[in-house]
Amino acid sequence: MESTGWTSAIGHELAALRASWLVMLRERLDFIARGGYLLVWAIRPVFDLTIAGLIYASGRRDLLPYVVVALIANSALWISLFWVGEVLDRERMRGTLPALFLAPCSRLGWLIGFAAAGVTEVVAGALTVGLAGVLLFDVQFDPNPLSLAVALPLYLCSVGGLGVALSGLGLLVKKANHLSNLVSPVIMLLGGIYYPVAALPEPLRLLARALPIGYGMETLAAAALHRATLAELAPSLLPLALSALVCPLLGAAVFAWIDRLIRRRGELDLY
Amino acid sequence: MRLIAGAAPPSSPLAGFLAVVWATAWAEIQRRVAYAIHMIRGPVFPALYYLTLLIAYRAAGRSVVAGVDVEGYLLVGTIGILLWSSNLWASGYAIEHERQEGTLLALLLTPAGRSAVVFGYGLGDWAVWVLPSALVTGLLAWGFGVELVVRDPLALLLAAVGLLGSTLALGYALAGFFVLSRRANLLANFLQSPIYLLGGMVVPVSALPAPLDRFAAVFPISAGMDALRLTLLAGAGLGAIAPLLLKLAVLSAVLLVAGFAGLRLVERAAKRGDELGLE
Repeated sequence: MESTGWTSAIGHELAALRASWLVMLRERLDFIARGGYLLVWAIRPVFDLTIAGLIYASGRRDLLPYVVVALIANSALWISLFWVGEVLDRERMRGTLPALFLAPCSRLGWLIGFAAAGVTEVVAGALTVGLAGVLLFDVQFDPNPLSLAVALPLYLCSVGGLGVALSGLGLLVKKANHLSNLVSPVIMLLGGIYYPVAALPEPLRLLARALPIGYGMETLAAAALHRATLAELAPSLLPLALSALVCPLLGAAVFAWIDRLIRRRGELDLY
Repeated sequence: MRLIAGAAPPSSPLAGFLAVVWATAWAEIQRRVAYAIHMIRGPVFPALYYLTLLIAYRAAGRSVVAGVDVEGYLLVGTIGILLWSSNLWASGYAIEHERQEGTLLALLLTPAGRSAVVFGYGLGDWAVWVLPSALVTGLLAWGFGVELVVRDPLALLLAAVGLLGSTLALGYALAGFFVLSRRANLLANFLQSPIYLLGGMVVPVSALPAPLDRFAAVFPISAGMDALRLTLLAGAGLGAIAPLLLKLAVLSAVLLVAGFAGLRLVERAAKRGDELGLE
């Protein structure tokens, strides 16, 4: 009977996750279609790519393919920061956060459902950058499907976990958008988006190596551009795998801590 | 809109204008300093964006851009980015902000000049964000060995005044346009980073393919940055930047006229009871 209970509980959580995802996805699709935001999120990285392209055009053109893949991966990072990272604070501003916390399902269930609704923008941004890379800068992909199939989920787990942690912290500081805007330039500098982490000067490179982003960018770039095998990717894949394990746990722990703290202070709906 | 309750009526229209500018700027400053994270994050983006681009240029093996050292080129470009962002989110967003707060109709009913409110938002933002951010980025550039070559301080002063003045004029023009577009937030988000590229802030305009290189010719911040780069980094005098100053003056005049017309249209739309926001 115990296993039936577990199955039932998991089914209940999955149903809550699916319902949250569907509700938020409909809302997002309506918002981005009506407001034209999809255009903004899809076009913006193309300008970022063009800036990088013009910087490297007369020097290191060989770095451009790397930047294309890094900017594709950055689509997920961007949504993790500015969508997942702000989702709780957004609910608070709407006045719906206390009701969500009282819902008869786990908080991570609906939070993951909400977070997954950002996939539309991730896909749109990634496709646009990839296409721009091919059309504007003649970037050639030579992917290793197996390596990508392993590296991509690990990378997404890492950045998703960071997003959940930020989401909790956003509740604490009461200005999640400012927090995202504070974190994003740090990630831009140290995350290996406009250049590989190896190009950073020594002290910054040490800091960058403490973050999972650079490993993710390197792994994905090598897997997508140079048909790198899992064995060849091992030096960056192992730290990435570790961060894929640690970041979601960190996100869940931060979220649980903030949850307790905010409720004890009675600040759940205080903006 | 905020007025000082019980204050004596201004002695002249100019005094009234300045009182509204000051009151609005002060309110903007207080609003911004209310959250510590707002003040902390302000200078972080421009400084780290400067550093990111500097590292990218160095990784590309480029130490000179558009005839000047990359450190100096990016320093002036970052000042341009700051002013452009301030245009978008402070002066340009001023009337939209009042609309979002539900105070637009009250603002339109007061005898306060709309332009004074727009300039007040802009100046408040300069005080709490543009100036500290420019100082932090300037210190960073100094740490990376930026070389300033100033031979004509008057020319430098006029270049700076021209750049700042035309920026305020641009914000004034955007203020009405944003509200009338009914997509202010979308537009501000959309316009932000493309202008970094098209305006010559982070890569020289000469590197852009036609017709993308034409935009900078009519974008006032580009002309202002050119004047500032020449006087701050290449030791140019007044004669060398005179055509740029003239261009800035003409563009600013056009923008002021456009801004005036835009705000009149906003006022008319509000009086008709039009829905001014769709977001």
